[in-house]
Amino acid sequence: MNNNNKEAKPKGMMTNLKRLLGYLTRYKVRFTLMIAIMLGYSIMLAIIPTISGVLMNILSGSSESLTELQNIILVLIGVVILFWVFGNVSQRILAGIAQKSLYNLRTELFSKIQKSSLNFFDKRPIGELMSNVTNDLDLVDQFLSVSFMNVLQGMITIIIATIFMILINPYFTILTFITILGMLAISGLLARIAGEAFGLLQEQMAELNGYAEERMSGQKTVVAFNQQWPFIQKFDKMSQNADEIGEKAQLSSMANTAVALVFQNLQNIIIFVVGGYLVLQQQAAFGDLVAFIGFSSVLMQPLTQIFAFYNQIISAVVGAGRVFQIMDEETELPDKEDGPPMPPVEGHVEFIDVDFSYVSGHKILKNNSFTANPGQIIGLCGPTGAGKSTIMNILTRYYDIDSGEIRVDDHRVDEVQQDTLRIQIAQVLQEPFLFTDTIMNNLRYAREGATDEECIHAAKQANAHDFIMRQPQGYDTILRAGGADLSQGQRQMLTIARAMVADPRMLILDEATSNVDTRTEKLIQEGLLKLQEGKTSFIIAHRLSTIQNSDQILVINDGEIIERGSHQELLDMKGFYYDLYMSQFRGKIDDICASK
Amino acid sequence: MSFRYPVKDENQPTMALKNINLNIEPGEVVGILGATGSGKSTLVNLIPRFYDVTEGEITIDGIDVREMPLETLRYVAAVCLQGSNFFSGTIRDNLISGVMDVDAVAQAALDFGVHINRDNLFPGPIDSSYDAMVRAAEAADAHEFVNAMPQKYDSVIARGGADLSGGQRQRLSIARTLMINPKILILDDSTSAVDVATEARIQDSIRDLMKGTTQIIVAQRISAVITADKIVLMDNGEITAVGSHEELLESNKLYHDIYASQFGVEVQGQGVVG
Repeated sequence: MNNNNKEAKPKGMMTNLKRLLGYLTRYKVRFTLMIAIMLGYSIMLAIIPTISGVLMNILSGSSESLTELQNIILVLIGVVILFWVFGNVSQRILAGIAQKSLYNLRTELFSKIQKSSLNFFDKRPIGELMSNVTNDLDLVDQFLSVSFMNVLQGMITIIIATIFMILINPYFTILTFITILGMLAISGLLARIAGEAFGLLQEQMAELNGYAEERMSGQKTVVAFNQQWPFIQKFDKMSQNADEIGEKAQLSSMANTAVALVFQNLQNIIIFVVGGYLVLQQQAAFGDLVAFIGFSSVLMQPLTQIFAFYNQIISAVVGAGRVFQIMDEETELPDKEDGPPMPPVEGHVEFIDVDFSYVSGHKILKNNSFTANPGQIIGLCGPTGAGKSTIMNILTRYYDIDSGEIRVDDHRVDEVQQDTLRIQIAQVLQEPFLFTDTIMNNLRYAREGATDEECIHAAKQANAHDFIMRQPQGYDTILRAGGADLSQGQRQMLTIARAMVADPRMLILDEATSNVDTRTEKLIQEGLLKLQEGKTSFIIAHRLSTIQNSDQILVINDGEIIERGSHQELLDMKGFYYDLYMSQFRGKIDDICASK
Repeated sequence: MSFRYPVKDENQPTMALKNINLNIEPGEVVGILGATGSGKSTLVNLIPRFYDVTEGEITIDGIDVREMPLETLRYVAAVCLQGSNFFSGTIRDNLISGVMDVDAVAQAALDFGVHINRDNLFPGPIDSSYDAMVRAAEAADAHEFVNAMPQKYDSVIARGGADLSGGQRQRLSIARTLMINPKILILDDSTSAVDVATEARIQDSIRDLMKGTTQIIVAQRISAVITADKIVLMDNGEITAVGSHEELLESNKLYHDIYASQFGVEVQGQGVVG
């Protein structure tokens, strides 16, 4: 189900990280400014304990005056204010560029998916793509807007603080780093345990959500087969599993905070003991000791944060890797270089020895040749899975063929710009698809700039006008969830109307009327005939009545055109078509036919 | 067993069904024919109580369906759903899901504190063996294409059966429903995506496999109901005519028109001119 976590192997974490950061650095000026301000922030952070040290030295030495004390306190106030300002400004800059970067990434991913050929979708379940668009981008969002900033700020702080510490007292610095190394070792261990648990938890949650979502969307099936309880049981088991893993993850990450605290105190004790001894021996100033107590918390905070965000960063980079993988995939059928746009189609279609397979080695179409003249109606019929829809899919170049040639008006379909070809061919597909939008916009979707009048006219021709007017807001009624509130027949009528709005040069009807009731179908047929006038039309049908009036009927079986001709010619042949035709009148009707 | 549903109404935005009175005898094959939105699917959805009637009652063997345990009802009257939904997993899992061990179902419910009487679940024996699965698949004309898949019945299908063709999905869906071996088999537009010859083959084998089972076939194509004992013609939520194919062809203008348009032939009285 949701094993894409494992499948998508991160090809080089560093490459992906760099590429992800590239989205931020695209905003060069703001990014540089942000780094500068972060630097300032860290310096202010390091100055605070330094000043406390200086202050202590002044207080413990008896010589200096009150004015110096006053000045130092003023500086300290200034530093705190600057610290606050820098912190806020850098956050603000980051929020801006992080969201812009995310916007860029999101748009790039979506447009990539939209532009991909059907082949791409055949290979990838929609659920997985959705996971890329939502979950993975969420991870990236977390990274860009929270963890990246924290970790970067932490690293800068550690470097700056270290410089300050060395300048103040190199011995104390060594002491500090010994304890820090100890902490790093234990924290690293804990982070690995927690990281594993978090990874497992994430996988388990993805699986759990997938399971729940799939069952909910198939609720009727679940109910029809009395499967509620077994499914609840399975879910319960998965949920318990997640509970256990989650507990483990949380415990180890909490332990991490505790370890940090213990080490911070340990470090203070060491500084107190060793430092105190040195101070008493007059080998170090009392102020240095105070300053280092301050530094221990300045250092510990970023260190714990880096560990806390470590897992988030890893999963964000892995998520980004999956997104990049999609963006890098060669998913479009490339247009031929310098391929000309398809001129206005007259409608002469020619297939010459066309072979085709979806998966190489498994031929779906074999040796198909036929010619359609402008304005002709071509019917395609044959058993389920014979390859009727496939022929249309390669005519519109949703897929490329293995061998042979497909020509429209003497242009090979793979030599012209595919957009300019496809826009001239309107299709009414087997499963109508409508967008969550007004009926009017769904119709207009077929052709930009179509007027309301044109849309209404088309709807009238497709016999959709009456039921549209019966909707609460007429043409302004918003269709919910792909038109779920319409009957299947009504949805189909809308797509037929949509094809009429498109007013194309060629037409493909794939079982367009199989779900429309017979009386309505008659009216639609009239409309379709009007629409077909002067256009080359292909009609894919199971019910032979829909193609009886075709100029030419192609009978397809097992990927081959086995018979061709007009309805009458094919009947006279007494071959496959004849059998197909007669099988409609099986049972009781056979007798009637026989008696004729 | 007698099976009937007298007056009933569904009172949603507008009445989806009005004054339906229908009596179906045990073992009868009944076709329900009607235009899009005429209420065919709604009608059969009421039998396993996906919805409850607003008025009136539906009875099976004289018992109001609302009086029966839901689990029993849905094993007795099984619907092959219109939008056949499959879960990601093997074909075998999907086919068996309908007949999964009833003891396991009862136990699962009990684990969550819901007591389902084991005897309520399913009256007869349920066969979830490999042979039973193949028998069901064969009857639904699905065995051949499943067997041609690399892993056969253990082939994993994508969620919703997205990697199957519309016709394949429908045939698997029929097989799944047949596995339950219900007393009342409801096929809700279950063969619309297969060609007429295949449809005929499936119907014949279902009749062989499910002898004595009451069948309710919802369809838009006459070819799907042409051999039914009784055809119920629906329009706008109401039953407009009931009769055999010949009776309706002779007496009902609408049926006559539908027939003429779907078969592309002119019908005059009893005669058919091709």
